[in-house]
This record gives sequence, C-alpha cells and structure tokens, in this order.
Amino acid sequence: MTSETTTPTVRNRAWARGLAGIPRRSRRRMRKVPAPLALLLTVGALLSVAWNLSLPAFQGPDESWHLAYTQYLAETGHLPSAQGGPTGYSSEVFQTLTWFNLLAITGDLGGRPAWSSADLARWHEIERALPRGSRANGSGPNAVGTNPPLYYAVMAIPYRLFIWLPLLKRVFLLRLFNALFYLATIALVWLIAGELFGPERWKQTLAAGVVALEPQLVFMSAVINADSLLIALTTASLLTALRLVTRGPTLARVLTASVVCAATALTHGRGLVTVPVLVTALVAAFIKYRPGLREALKRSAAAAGTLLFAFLAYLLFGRASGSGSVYAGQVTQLNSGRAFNLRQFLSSVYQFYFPKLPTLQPRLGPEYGYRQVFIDTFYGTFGSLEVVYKARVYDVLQVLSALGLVGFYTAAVARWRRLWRSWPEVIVLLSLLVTNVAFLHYVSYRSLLSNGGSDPLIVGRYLLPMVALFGLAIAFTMGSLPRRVGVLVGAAILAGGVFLCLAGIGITMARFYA
Amino acid sequence: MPSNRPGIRRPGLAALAAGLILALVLAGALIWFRPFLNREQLPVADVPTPPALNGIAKFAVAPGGQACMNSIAITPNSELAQIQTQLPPAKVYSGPPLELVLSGTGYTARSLVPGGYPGGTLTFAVSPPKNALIGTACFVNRGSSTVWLEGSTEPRTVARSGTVIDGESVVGDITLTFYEDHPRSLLSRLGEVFGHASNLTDRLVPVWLIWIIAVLTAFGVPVLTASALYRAVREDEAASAG
Repeated sequence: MTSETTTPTVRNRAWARGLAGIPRRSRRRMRKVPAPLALLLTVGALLSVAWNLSLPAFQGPDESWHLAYTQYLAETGHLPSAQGGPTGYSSEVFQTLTWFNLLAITGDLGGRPAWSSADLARWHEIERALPRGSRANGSGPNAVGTNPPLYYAVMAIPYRLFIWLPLLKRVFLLRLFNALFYLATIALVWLIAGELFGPERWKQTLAAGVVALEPQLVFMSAVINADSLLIALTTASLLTALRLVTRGPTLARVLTASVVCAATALTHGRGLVTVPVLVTALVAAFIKYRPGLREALKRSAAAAGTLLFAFLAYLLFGRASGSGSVYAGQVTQLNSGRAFNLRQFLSSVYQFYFPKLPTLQPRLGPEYGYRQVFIDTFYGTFGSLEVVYKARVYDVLQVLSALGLVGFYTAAVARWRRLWRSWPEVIVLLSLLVTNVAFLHYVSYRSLLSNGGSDPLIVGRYLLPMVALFGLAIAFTMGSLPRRVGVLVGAAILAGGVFLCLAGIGITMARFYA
Repeated sequence: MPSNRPGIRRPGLAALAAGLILALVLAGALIWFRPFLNREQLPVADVPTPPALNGIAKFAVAPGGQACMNSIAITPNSELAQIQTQLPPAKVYSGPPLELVLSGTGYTARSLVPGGYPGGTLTFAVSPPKNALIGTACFVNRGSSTVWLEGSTEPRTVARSGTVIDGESVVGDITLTFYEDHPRSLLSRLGEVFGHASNLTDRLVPVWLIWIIAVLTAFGVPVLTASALYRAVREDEAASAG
C-alpha cells in the first residue's frame, strides 16, 4: 500500500506541469481509460448480456417485486406500500408472470417458462387486450415496499425511456441498464486498487478482474434488484472513505464521501453499514492530518448534515407517498422478535464458523454456516437459489478459499510493517469488513429468533457490497509473492473466474431453456 | 539454456500469464464443458404445468371420468407426454387404461396407456402438431378403477392452465411435461434453446444475435481477460524500464 503524503494541490500542480511538456495527442491518450480496465469492462459487459439472455424475466432473487416497485414509482411517482393495497403486482406484470408460468417455475427445477412461439403469439393478443391503467395499479402490498427509493428512482429513468415497449422487452433493457452498476463496481475497484497499490497495473487488473469475474456478482448484474446499486455505491463509499485518509479530509472530499454514503443508505438498509466506515475514515483522517478542532468539527458537521438531510428527505417522501415504514428486510430484523441474548448470539456466531463445542447450546435454526454463506451462495447460486454448480466445485472453492485465507494471513504478517505504516487505510478497510459481517450475523440471529429458527435470512450475495475487499485481498496476497509467481497465480485465479462465469451462464441457460 | 540461444527468446511474463489463462480455460472447457454439451438426454419440449415444490396434490379421475386442462402449449417437438400417477398400495390394484386426448384448432391426437401399470410415471406417445399451438389436454379413464394424477395446488406452482374434472373446475393443475422422443445433446439443440431464450425477450434479441453473443462470450471473455493481464504486465514492464 502506498502512503500518500503530498497535498492534492501540490500533486495537481505537479501533474499539470508534467502534462504541459507532453504533446496534446498523448495527453488525450493519458486521459483515456487504461487498456486493461477497458478490456475488463468489455468482459463484464459480455458476461452480463449473456447472463441476461440465460435468465428469463423475473427469475432472479425477488426480481418481480423489485420490478413492481420500479414500475409503480415510474408510473405514478409514488412509493408502493409494504403492507396495504389491493395487489403488489400491476395487472401487466401479473398477467406476464401467469401467462409465461414465470411465477410457477420460480425455484422449481422441474418447471420451464412457456417458451413456444404459440405462447408468445397468444401473449401478444392478451397484452393488446389489457385495459388502460394496467401498468400503474400495483400499489401494494409489495414485498420490498419498505426499501428506500434511490435504486427504483434511478431505474425509473430507463423505464420511462422504454415505456412504449412491451414488458418483456422493457425488462431486458432494464437489466442492461442495471448492468451499468456492475461495470461501475469494476471501475471503482480498479481505482481503489490504484489508490492502495500505487501505479502497479497488474495488481489493479487482478483486483478488478477478480471482481469482474465473480460469478454471483455477474449474475446479479442481470437481475433487477437494488443489490446492484448497493454494491456499486458501497464500493464508491469505500473509495471516497479511503481518499479521505490517503489524500486528506478537505471539505470537498468529506462532502463527496458523505453524499455517497447517504446515497448508499438510501439504496438499501444494508447500505447503513457505510456510515460507520465514513465515521472511521473521518476519525482516522483527522488523526493523520490534524486539521484543528474547529475544522474537524466543521467537516464532521458537513458529513452529519448531509446524512441527516438525506434521511429526512426519505422520511418525508415516504410519508407523503403513504409508505408505512422505512427500511426493510435485514434492517427490520434489528429490533424485532424475542429479546436479545448476548451469550446465545455469540454461541450462534461461533457455531456459524466452527463445530459445536459440548458446552454450547445447539445453534438456532437449520444447519447453516460459513460454507453456505461464504462459499456456496457467495461464489454462485443462481436463479432463485435452485441453479447450482456441482457439489465438488464448491468443495474445491472452499479449499482454495482456505488456502487463500492462509496466504493472506501470511502476507499480512510478513508485511506488517508496511501495513502498520498504512494504518488509516487498513482500519477503513477493516471497518467495512467488520461492520458488514457483524451486521449480517446480528440480523440473522434476530431473524432466527423472530421466525422460530426457520430462516437465517442471510445469503452470500449480501457479502457482495464488500466484493472490493475480496479483490484487494487477492491482489495484496499475490503482490506479496515474488512477482513472477504472483502474476502467474493471479492469472490462474482469473482463469478460474472465467471458467466459473461461463459455466454459470451455461447451467442457467440449460436450467431454463433446455 | 534456451534463452541463451541466438534467435530463441524466452517468453515474457506477460505472454506467459496470458497463455496460462487461455490454456487453463481451454483445459477446463475440454474436461467439463464438452461432456456437458455432448451428453445425450431426452430433451424437454415444453412444461405446460410444472411439478409442485413442496406438497404434491392428487387429482382423482373416476372410471369413465376425465380431467382436462386448457391453455396447454403443444409444439412440434411434443412427442412424449409424461405425468405421474398414484395408486393405493394394494397388491391386486393396478392402474386402469388411461387415454390422453390433445386438441387445438385443427389438431387432435389420442394416445392410450394400457391398464396394469403399478403407478408412478406414465408416458404417452403423441403425434405432435405441425406448428406450435395452444390447446387442451384431457386424461380419460377408460378402466373400471380410479386413478390419481399428481399435480399441484400450491399457489406458488400452479400454472396458467385451468383444470376441470368431470365438468367441475378444480383448484390446481396436473403436472404435465412434454419431451422429444429421442435423446439429443445440448450442443445439437443450441438453436432451439436460443429460440426459447429469444421468445422470452419477446424477440427483442433475435436468435442470430444470441448466436453472436454466445460465440463472443465463449471465446471473447477468455481472450479479453488474458489480454487485460497481458497489457497490464507489459505496462508495468514499460514503466519500470522507462
């Protein structure tokens, strides 16, 4: 990791002086996207389009509900209700789900969508006969109705652009638009790697490449789901937080970081984990750069004010729209169910990772641990969790992940002096890891308490907002090896990612269309 | 050492890394993708009514009675129709003759499974229509004992088809799957598979374009990934040399 000590102004002046001596043509070229990043973005775009084609409409996790939310907001300007209302799906969405058997086959491996030309021809007749207002009557109850509105407001733009198209075409194009968040995530990881590793292209390429080729992330890019924007914004949040500690907490940077943090929290309840990351980054930056108490307070107030403003705006908008409550799903679990028992919680977390000790009470809920969350559903479980690789693929991934973890630990110990020098960056990265994992464990425990142990709630895709850490950890570990070995092992890792993505697209297409 | 011989250059790290990516993906494709694409199995022609996920429902069809489902897609590939039956576990009980009647505009096909089966899977040989159509499927009990057809009443897995048993509408549907009658590999059916995918985009993406995207993805993704690492390592080498 590099330690940035020059001020931005000095850096910019130096940069400008450097550029002055360079011909205009070369300057233009320098401003262009670096070739390895451009290539990775092309890879990401290809994979996302292919996955979009492999996956019928509404077959991603909760996709029908996310589309229904987008549609209602785009059509009426109001948020759908989480509890009230006659129907969560508009007539148009419901008829599509029904006619093509898209609801019936969700999660059902024996089912296929109605894929024949006769189905499509008859559908056109049904679609033409839909009465006016069929797109705008999905007022609720919507299963994701308590999600904050940012993702849906952004998705309403392409929705309005393509409103004249039939629904299946609209869904395909909305998914393409959604893929932009995944591409943004790749670019952001590239920037973070550049921030941390300095101008070492191969490490940037490895970090961003690992992210571009993470099968679950690619799959989610082809699904209308708020997670895609959440992942991009959490990654952006990490970048802006890191810049506070690497470049200094200027007011502009503090405002940028807090706006991104607010946007993340307005995208999904799980985005709230970026707030402690921002606080950590601010504290670390104030300690490192010592701007003075008055300046520190001013900038802290700017950050807090931004967050507060965003939250109040959401609250007022939600109330004006008649939406009952703010934040859903995982956040709702923060304060629901039976009383919190610290001992039981810690025991539950322990047994998530390790076999039960004789002295411990059995863990609440089903057999569900790190294998299911950190391996199976993190690397890739597609459709509505029914499309999976062969079991031995996950076994291999588990072994490789364990080896990677040992390698990472060894690299961290071997390079501890360098990490120590970069302590502000390290604690910002750690704060994202710790808050995210702790948050997920906590809500899973609360969920098990409230649903009688039937549903642990969390799956591996909830780790994807931290996917930048995954890429960075691999790049750091490979970067600690002798260069030749590191590059070649990195190449093997990228090859594994390519292979998993292509296999994932293949098994998804075979499950739905073969 | 080869690298010391004049005219022979040791491959650079960039080329080695890119080559490794391509070699590993190629090896993986040969070991895993090829068998996956070439494995022969009875292809699914259509699934008008998917199976239940959790609780299997039973629909009783009395002697002489019939159970009909409408809105059934029947395609030129619908050569076999498969259902699941249940019978009481009595030693003397065997399944009654069951007839499947498929009909649509200008199309009727009949297929009989003789009695005596022990329950479980029943497969009807079907004369498919020339063109895909939306029609009706009726199961007619031609025997003297009741047969129970498996299906679903779960709101989650009930399909669009309405079910009528002996003139009365019932909730749920009988699980029905059409297959082709000879095994084929996935590779040989890619055109059909892409056709299904195209239909589910409302033909926004035509089949020819799916072919192009498939080829670009299969070959482009490994090559572009290898190129990205190649370019990155070369840029680093150029930077350190300069």
